[in-house]
Amino acid sequence: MNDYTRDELVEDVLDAYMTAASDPDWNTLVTWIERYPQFERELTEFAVAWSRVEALPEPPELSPAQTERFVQRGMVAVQRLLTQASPLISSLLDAGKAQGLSSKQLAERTGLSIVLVGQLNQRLIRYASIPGELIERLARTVHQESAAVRRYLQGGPILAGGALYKANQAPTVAPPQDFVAAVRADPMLSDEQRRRLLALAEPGGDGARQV
Amino acid sequence: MTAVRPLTHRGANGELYYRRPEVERQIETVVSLPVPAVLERTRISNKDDPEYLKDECLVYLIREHRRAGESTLVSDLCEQLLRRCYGIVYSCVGKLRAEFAEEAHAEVVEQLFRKILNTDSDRGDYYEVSFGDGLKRLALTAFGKYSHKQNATDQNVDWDQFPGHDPGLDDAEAPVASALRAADRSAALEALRTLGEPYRTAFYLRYYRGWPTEAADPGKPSLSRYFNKTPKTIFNWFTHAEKKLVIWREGQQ
Repeated sequence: MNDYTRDELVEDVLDAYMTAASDPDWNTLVTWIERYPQFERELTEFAVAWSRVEALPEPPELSPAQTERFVQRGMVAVQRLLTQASPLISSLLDAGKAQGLSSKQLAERTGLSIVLVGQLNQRLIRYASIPGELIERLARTVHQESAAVRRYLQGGPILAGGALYKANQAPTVAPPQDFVAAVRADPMLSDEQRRRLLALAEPGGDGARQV
Repeated sequence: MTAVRPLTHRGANGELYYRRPEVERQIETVVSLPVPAVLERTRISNKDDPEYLKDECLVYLIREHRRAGESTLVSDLCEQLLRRCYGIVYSCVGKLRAEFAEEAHAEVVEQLFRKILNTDSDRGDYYEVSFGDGLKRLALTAFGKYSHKQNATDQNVDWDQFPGHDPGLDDAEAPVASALRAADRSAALEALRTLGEPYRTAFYLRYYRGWPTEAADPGKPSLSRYFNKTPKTIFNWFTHAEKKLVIWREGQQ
C-alpha cells in the first residue's frame, strides 16, 4: 500500500499517456480519463499544456554559446544532486528538532497525534501498513528525503528512551502493530483526524495502484 | 559490472517496465567496455553512427556507476546526457518568456536527474524505457505550470464582455479556422499569436484538437468546463477570434 504516492502514480499515468498518444487530441484524452478517472484533472491539464506548446511557434534557435550556457546551468543542478547523499536518520523526533519542531508541532504539521508520532519514531507501526502519503508528509516536514525516512521506518522497533526496568530479564518490544489499528486505538486523535488518517490508509485513498 | 540489472518499477497498468530489445543488447555490450571506451562512445553525437549510445543506455550507465560510487564518471556521463536533453526541453520551455523559461528548465533538469540519480528508488526506470517521451513529459508539465504563472502576469484583454454571440457558430467550422489548418503551419501559428491567452488555447483546442465547446456528457472535458465559462461566452470568444484572424489575414495579403 505504501509503494507509490498519488503524485508518483500521476507521473506514471502521464508517462504512459505521453508514450501512447501521438498527439493531445480530445478523443484520446477522453479514453485515458475513462481509464483513470481519478486523474482527470491532471490528464486534462497535461493535454492542454501539450496543446499550448503546439499552438506556439518554435522558439529562436540557440547559438552555440547559448546552448553551452543551457548545459552548464543544468550541470550546476546535477552537481548539487551528485553531492547530496541521503543522510541516515537516527530519530524522527531529532529530525524534527533539527527543524525547530517540538514533538507536538511535528504531530500538528503531519496531521498526527503525539502518540502516533512517538509510535512511528519507535518504529512500533508495521512499515508496510504506513500510507506512502504519510511518509512523504513526514519527509517534507522534517526536510529529509523520503528515502531516508523510509529507511528509518523500516528498522526494527526500539524501546522508549529513559525508561527504567525493574525486571531481571531484558525488556522486549511488542511486535509492531498495523497503522489502521494504531489510529483506531489512539485516544488523542480527534474524530476528524482519525477519519483523515484512515482515509489515507484505504485502497485508493493513498493512490494505491488501480489494476 | 556484468549482468544487466533488471528494471523493477511497475507502470500505471501495474506491469513491470521493460527495456526495448535493442537497448538491452547495447547495454550488454557496453557494460564490459573499459571506462575510456565508454566515455568515447557517449561523445558520439551522430545517431546514425552504429556506435552511438542510445539515451536509455546512457541512463543505465549513469545509474549503475552512481550505485558504484564513481562520482567523476557519473558527472561526465550526466553532462553528455544533458547535452542531449536541451533540444526537447527547449522546444517546450523556450516558448515561455525568458524569466519563466529559465525556471522551467531548471525544474526539468532537477526532476529528471533527481529520479535518475536516486539509487534508493526505481523512479528512474522509465528513462531506461523511453527517455525521449519521459523527458518531453517533464518538459510539458513544466511548461504547463510556468505558462499559468506567465499568463497571470500578462495583461490580456478580457473578451468576456464582447457582444456578438452568433448561434450559427455553434459547432460549425469557423471559416478562418479551416483556412488556417490548410495553410502552412508556421503561418498558422503566427496567426494564432495575434490572439492572447486564453483565447489562443481555446481556439486551438476547438479547431485543431477537436474539443467540444460543451460536451453532451458532463463527465467529459469541454472548453466550457475547462475555462469555467458558459458556452455562450466561449462562442463570443470565437466570434471575436474570427474577426482578429480575418484582420491578420488581410494584413498578410
